[in-house]
Amino acid sequence: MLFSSLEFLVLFMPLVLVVALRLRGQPLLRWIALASVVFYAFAGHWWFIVPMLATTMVDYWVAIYIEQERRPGPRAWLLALSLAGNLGMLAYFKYSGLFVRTAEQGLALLGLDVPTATVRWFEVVLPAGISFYTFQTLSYIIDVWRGHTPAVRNFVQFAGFVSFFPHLVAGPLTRHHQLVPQLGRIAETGIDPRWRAGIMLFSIGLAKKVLIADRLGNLIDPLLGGPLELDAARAWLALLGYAFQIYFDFSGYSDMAIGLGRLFGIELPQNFNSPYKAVSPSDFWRRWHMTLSFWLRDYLYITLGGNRCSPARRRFNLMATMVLGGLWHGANWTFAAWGTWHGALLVLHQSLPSWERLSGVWQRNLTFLLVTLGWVFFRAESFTQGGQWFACLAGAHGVTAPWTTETLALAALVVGCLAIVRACPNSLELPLDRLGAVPQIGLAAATATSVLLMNYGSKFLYFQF
Amino acid sequence: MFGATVALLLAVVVAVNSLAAWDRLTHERRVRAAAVQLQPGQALLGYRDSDERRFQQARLEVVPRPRVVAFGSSRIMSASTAMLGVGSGEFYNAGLSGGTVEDFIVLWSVLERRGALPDTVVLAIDNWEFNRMHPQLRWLEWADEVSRFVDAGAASRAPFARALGPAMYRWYQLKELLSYSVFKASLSELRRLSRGRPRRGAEIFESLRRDLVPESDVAGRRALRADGSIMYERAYVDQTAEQVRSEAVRYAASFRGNLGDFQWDAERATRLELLWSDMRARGVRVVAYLPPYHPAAWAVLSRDPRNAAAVRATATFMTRLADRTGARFANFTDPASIPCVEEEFLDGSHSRDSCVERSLRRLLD
Repeated sequence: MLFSSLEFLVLFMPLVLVVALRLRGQPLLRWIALASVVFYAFAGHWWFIVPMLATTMVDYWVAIYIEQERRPGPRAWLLALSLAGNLGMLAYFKYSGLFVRTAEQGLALLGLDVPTATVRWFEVVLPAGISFYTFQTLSYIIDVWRGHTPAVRNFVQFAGFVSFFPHLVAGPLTRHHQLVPQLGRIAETGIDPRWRAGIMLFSIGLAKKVLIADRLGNLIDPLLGGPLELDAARAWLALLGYAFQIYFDFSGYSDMAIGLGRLFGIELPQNFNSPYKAVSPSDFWRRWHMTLSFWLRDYLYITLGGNRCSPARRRFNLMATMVLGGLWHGANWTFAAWGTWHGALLVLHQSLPSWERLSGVWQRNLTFLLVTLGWVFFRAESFTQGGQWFACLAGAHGVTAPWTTETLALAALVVGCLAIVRACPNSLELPLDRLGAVPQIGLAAATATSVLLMNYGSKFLYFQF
Repeated sequence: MFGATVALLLAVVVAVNSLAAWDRLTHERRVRAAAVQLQPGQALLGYRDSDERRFQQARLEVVPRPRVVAFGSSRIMSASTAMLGVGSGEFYNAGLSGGTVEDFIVLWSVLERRGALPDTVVLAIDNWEFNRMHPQLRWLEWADEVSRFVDAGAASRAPFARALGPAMYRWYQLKELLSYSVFKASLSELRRLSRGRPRRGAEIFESLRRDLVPESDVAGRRALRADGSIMYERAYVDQTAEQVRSEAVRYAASFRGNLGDFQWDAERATRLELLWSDMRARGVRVVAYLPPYHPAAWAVLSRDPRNAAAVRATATFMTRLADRTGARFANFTDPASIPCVEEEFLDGSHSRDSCVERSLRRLLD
């Protein structure tokens, strides 16, 4: 079930909210957990709930045992058990296909075959959102093991933390300290919805997704569908269009998730802070998919040694974090290349004191250009396609060709998007509780149009991660 | 202010779509009533002026439950009741010119809704259907129906959803009241009517009222039988073998025939899988095949490794799908595999009755 579907807006959400408003205490938490499981069952295949429930149960008990256990050895074993379970599940569902494909290609070079039966065993459907909830429970277990947080003793509350449907499938990647206390509070006091702020933010997210991201996708996909032989102008338009598509798609989803959270009286963490206004690669990662960036910083980069080590080691830590962060996004080596690209940008930025001497405008434009070039790796289905795209960008197939209506529409959308991301405030900065009549009517018209267009809409790009 | 504006705008859309839906339902009732008039032994002439898709949809609404139904492109359209050796009314040919998976979905949905499921479905699949680079737009006129099936198929993967089938169908109908594409179509249809022009699809109604003749009176003209199968015009059937051969070679090199630009259309493949699984889940026997090419066309196509790779991709997918769903599949792309000879073809991709009959018998035996 998608947020941008009538099933969700007309049936699921009103029913869940109406019942939730009448409940308190454990029944309220049970209802939220149940609703989340039902939501997830309709997110693709019903069996998606099985690995999620397994993770929830295992990590709930492991955390309690870790807290009870004082001896370091058994505590480490319990941590290892949770890590192996979570990462093993992620490895099987998400990466086994990649590893088998890679092994197959490697063996083929040696003239050997992988048995078809073996390959089929690893052709599994990726449960939506598995990367998100796995990382959430991992951070929880690690924090309990580090002694930073007590174990949650209320199973339903813990299940609500893992599965709370607004953030379940595509984030924001919410930490236990951000959600568990809020669930405890609403259980005590009942739900106190922030109606206006929630609905308005949801509507903004819906419009971002349906009116901008999906329109861009419809114009870009045909350009990138066949063998890439685009003239430079189209290749750049496709690239810029994709840069905006992925931003409006994912930030739109995040806005919707945060808006929905507000309807339950819960504030989910911010996930985007106008990333295309960033003035450096480091600044970009403080603004783009912030909850993942902070997770990677806290649980990977710092664990590897962070900044408190030699410059060479620090560069290695940065590269390793970004490569793994890239792979988190998808089971394809192109994602690792995307992570490497960003790792290299971060390392270069740290090693270039002259960057700070550039004017703000240059810093912003250069950052945008470098980030946008990186999207080639993210969007390309293979290195061959990525290479073809770079060749097109460089003008290998001419600079420009006669423009069609679609190309002009794409150009207009790209210019419009550029104006929005540079000139408009972030949606979380808008005074949604006290919008004037004209903006309200404008947003209402955008919402109504989105509802009409979303009927048979596409999926969110980040669902695949 | 915000809520009232959203509600007002959506209410206008629902009102326009409801009005157009009411008009469409009235029209469809009239077409169905006319479609009943086509009886066994009769043929519909001049159907080229009609909307073939809407004709088949209307016929499937009214024919008695067939035991065997064929879906496919024009390459299966000549398959008839006599060819299969079954009783009158036991076979229906739902083939269409340029028919694609999406068309099969909509026509299958009609049988599903009526509870008139056949025992056996024959699917004639063309290689070009899975070519993403091959523009196929005809099915888009019922894109909403296709989306409804695909969405419902996805939803039906959830537990208990299948039991809710009829309710889900109603829900998807209601959803269309809030669909932009339906809204656009409704506005255009209402505009036509307000200008006094005939509504879209009116020609089927007229054709069914005007152009019905006994099969014996067809006299070498192109016509459709009551079982949906086609009777080709004399000029097409009477071509010499040389004429057919040169046409076949030309076809193999043409945009439509050539598969050199083949890129796998995963979306269409998923739709076929969904349709096929739905049929199997309802206990229907599915037999599918890739129809044969004219030997000269096949020689040209198979010489080019890109064409051969395209045929292989389709056949591999179909074989796996058949294995997964317990269906039967045969790759007859190479005419020698049936076998059919040059004289049994009408052009590069359409075979004569004898070849079609042999293919079907091999599949169904």
